[in-house]
Amino acid sequence: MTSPNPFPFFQRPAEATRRRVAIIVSHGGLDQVYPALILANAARMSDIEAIVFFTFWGLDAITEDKVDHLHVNMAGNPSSPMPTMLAGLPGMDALAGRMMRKKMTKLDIPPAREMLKILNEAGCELYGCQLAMEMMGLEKSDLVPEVKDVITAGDFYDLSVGAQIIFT
Amino acid sequence: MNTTPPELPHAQATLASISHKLDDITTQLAQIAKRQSALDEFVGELSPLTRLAMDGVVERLDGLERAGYFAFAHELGRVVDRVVRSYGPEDVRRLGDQIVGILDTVRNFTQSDTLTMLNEVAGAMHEADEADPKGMWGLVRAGKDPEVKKGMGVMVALLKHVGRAADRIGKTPSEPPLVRLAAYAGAGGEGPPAWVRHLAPRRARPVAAPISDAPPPPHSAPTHAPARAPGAAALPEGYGPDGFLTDPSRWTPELANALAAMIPLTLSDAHWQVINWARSDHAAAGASPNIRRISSGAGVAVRDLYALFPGKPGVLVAMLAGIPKPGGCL
Repeated sequence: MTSPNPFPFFQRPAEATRRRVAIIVSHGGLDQVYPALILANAARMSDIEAIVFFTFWGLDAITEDKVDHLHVNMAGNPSSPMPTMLAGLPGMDALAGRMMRKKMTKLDIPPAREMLKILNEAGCELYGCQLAMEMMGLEKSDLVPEVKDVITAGDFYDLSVGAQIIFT
Repeated sequence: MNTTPPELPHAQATLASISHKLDDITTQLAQIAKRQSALDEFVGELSPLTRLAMDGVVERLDGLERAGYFAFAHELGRVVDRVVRSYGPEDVRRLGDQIVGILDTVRNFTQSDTLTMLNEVAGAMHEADEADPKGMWGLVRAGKDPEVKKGMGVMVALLKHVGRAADRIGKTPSEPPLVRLAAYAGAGGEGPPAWVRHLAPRRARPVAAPISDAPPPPHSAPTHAPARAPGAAALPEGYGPDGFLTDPSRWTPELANALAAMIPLTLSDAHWQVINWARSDHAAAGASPNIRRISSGAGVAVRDLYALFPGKPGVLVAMLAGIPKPGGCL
């Protein structure tokens, strides 16, 4: 036990000094939700504690009947291969979402619902925003079961003590 | 008093038997003669009949001739002759090699669903003259019909396969034509070519070849050897700058135990189940599995993986299994 450990990642920091992140998801597009979910998962895989707070349109990602049909808005997106005039046509966002999901399935990226399940099992806590849910007429029962609680903005600050806050 | 010499009655008896036999022969002769005359009579009656039958046969053959059967057989003979002349024994041998593939193709073509579809298509061709002419806009409108949509999907899928096959064949121009045709049929001397697997529906995705040629590591029976004193000295060389074993074939269960002791962690059967699965998956897929793949492959919940390998489960599993650091974001 005296010789130095050549593998730095074996040394687990004490719980009090461990890094924490708190991620806020405020948009509901597939391309806007995934970065947050991937970041949260990567944090857990890197021994960083993580909580994710879903507010406004971000609630779509944890709403039972929307999580499987997240859209991608191509209109006004300069990176989109589609002209904005066409991207604004009805149904284009759903189409783009479907195409992106297909591509992700091909690359073996888990769907949003499974990502939430993995995050939950990894010990990442998922929260819904109480005010946004009242505005959208959502109940806790409308959300996926992985969501731990519905909290206020103040609660979020209490939970994210010592955490780096990422707003997406 | 008996004066007759003893030989006389004996001769009389012999004579009598001879005359009896003569009588029999006469009777038989008469019967034969009778049968012969009956036969003559029969043949006499039969001849006109036979002539009639012969006439019928000749007429029939003439009919066949007129219908072209003989000309056809003659031409068929010439076709066979031509085939035999233009295909040498070498070609026939190659054909023999490909026969399984050809039969496979025929079998695929004669599946009931394929036949049903072909039959349907053939039926549509019969009604071709009733179809309305379609212009550019008609085509666009027809595209809305779900059946047309489905048909277009099938055609696109077919075209895709044809393109793939053509691409493949274009890249191997040295093969003689017969072999190339047989390749279309999905046969090959040493297993089907790779693109045939793409042609077949719903087969397993081909996986990359294992990275090392070394024999598979001992997956079963983990030996709980005493842990070596942890530290740099206990580790063999062969570690990359990221701290992962560069050559998975150099891994031993003892090494895993030694590494685990540094975490510190005591490897249980549950740990070994994950480690052995990760090793076999790396050998099969050529890449280190991510946490989701480990979870579904080794049959351990993500939650349990975090409990078994606390902190950084993905990295620790790869480390202990002696496989490279897992890439990807998951």
